[in-house]
Amino acid sequence: MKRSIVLIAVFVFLSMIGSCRKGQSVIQDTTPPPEPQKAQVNRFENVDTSGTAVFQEANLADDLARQAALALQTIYFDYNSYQLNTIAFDQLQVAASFLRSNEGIRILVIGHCDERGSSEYNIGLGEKRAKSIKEYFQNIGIESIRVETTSYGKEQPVQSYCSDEDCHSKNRRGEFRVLAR
Amino acid sequence: MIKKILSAIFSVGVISLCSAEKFDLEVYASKFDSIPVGVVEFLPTNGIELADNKPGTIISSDLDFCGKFHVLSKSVFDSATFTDENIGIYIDGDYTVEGNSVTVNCNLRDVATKDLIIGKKYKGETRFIRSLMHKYCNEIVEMLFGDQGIFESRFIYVTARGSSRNVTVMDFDGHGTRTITNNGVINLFPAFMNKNDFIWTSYLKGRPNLYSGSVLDGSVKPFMASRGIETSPDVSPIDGTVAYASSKNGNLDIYICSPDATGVKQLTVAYGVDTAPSWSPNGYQIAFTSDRSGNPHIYLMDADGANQRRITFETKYSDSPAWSPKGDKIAYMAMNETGKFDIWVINSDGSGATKITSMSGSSENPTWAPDGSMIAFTNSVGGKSDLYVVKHDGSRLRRVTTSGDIKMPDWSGY
Repeated sequence: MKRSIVLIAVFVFLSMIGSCRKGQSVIQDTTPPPEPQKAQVNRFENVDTSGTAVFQEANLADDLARQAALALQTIYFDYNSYQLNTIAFDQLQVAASFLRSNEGIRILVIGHCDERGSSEYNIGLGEKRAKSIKEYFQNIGIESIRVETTSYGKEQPVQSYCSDEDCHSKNRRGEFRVLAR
Repeated sequence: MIKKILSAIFSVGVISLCSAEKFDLEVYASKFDSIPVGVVEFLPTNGIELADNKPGTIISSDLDFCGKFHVLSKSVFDSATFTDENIGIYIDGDYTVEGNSVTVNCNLRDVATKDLIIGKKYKGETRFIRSLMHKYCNEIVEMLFGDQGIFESRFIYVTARGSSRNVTVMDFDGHGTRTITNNGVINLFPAFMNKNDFIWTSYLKGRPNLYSGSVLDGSVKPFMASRGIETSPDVSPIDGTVAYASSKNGNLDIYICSPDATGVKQLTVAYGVDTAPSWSPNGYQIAFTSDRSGNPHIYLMDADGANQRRITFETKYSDSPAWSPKGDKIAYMAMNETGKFDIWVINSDGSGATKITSMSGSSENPTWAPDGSMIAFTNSVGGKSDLYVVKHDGSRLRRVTTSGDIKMPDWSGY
């Protein structure tokens, strides 16, 4: 064991000498350069995580706003359900990709319900829908602090006084907003 | 109180030269489930007539509203008709308008002799004449039943117009509506804390949290917030403890806290959504809605969270429990085959679940009168939602409002 170490050391020493140029005394530095340090700053400093923060929408530059609107499209749910269907999964993949490419972006997911059912319970069901979406993002590694959730229950339908399923289905949704920092 | 009346009657009888029988209010009242009473239009003493809110009209509608009276109103005293309808007592009087104040004399009289049984006088600003007459009707109910009258009670509710939701108060009879919040956000589930303060859910910070406010000056204070949702507050009639639903530890669970928002305690930890708490009048129990068994149903528990048990089984989706101030019954809304809701009443031991409304729209969010005599609720058809009242057995269904924008009412105390 000792012998092979000595041999290696000699070999290294010789190869170092061998790379010297005649007449010059440059010593090649083979120590790898230090890795540039990742910024130690918390990307989400100044985010108020108490109960007192106000959810305010961000004022994005036009180009980023357009990208966000394309990537963060409304997710729809089946009646009385908070499960993600296959279309939802496809949409969320696109959304996740956008979030990964724009690490400064924090979003709010707002859950909504159709006008059937009761006001009290629907606040809870809307939140379950928003949390389903948040869970998807968490499962693929997006930090929890980047995704806030809330619910409007059945109080903010996009279509009112629905008389058919098609109309009702437009109200069962999770909507995205980009949050201000 | 009856003794006072009987002695008043006796002294009136002594003073009058008429040999008619002395009127016995107690005996009269005991003969009927709802007491027949006549109301004759009040006359101005000085030629200045009230254009609207006439005393006789207000008294008639108050007494008719509460379900304890069978009221017959007349513009002049009509002995024949009153006698035909078995009406033994009637109310008449006069009023004097001076400047911006009015004095009203209200007389309760015996139909047979027109003798005064008891007279009352009220004075105040003319714009408050409804309030003066409500006070009188409270005294009538007190005299004849020994109960407190509900005529000074109010509703606090959400005015829903298009996408706006603001907190509004109005008198029990739909008059005097006054919107309290005007903050440009969604406001929901207001509940009285006392006569002039209320607690409700507002999206002032972009998510539903609890705030408290005053109906007197519209002032607002944050009450309870987290990064989750706080909603559906209900205030204990015993000590003001606030029960509410919060999702700060997961999905919505029931919490309680002191009236100053300290001493927060989590009462339910179930998987699923628990919301819509309602205190029993003795403060020992809380009714609430939970979907822990699939669909939302009504559950009861002790005020410390123990003994949680489901009580609705006849219906597939029940929500919005409201515990009667008498303690014996709980009203709630339950979904029918058309997907709309009806009002149901169940005994607080879980027995006797009974549907009490069958209206064509959706009947929602029941709330009890402070004396437990009636349930108010909203019924919505198309986009219009109005307030109705009904007795706990489903009788005497009456419409209260026509504005078409009433949601989530809470009936105040006396």
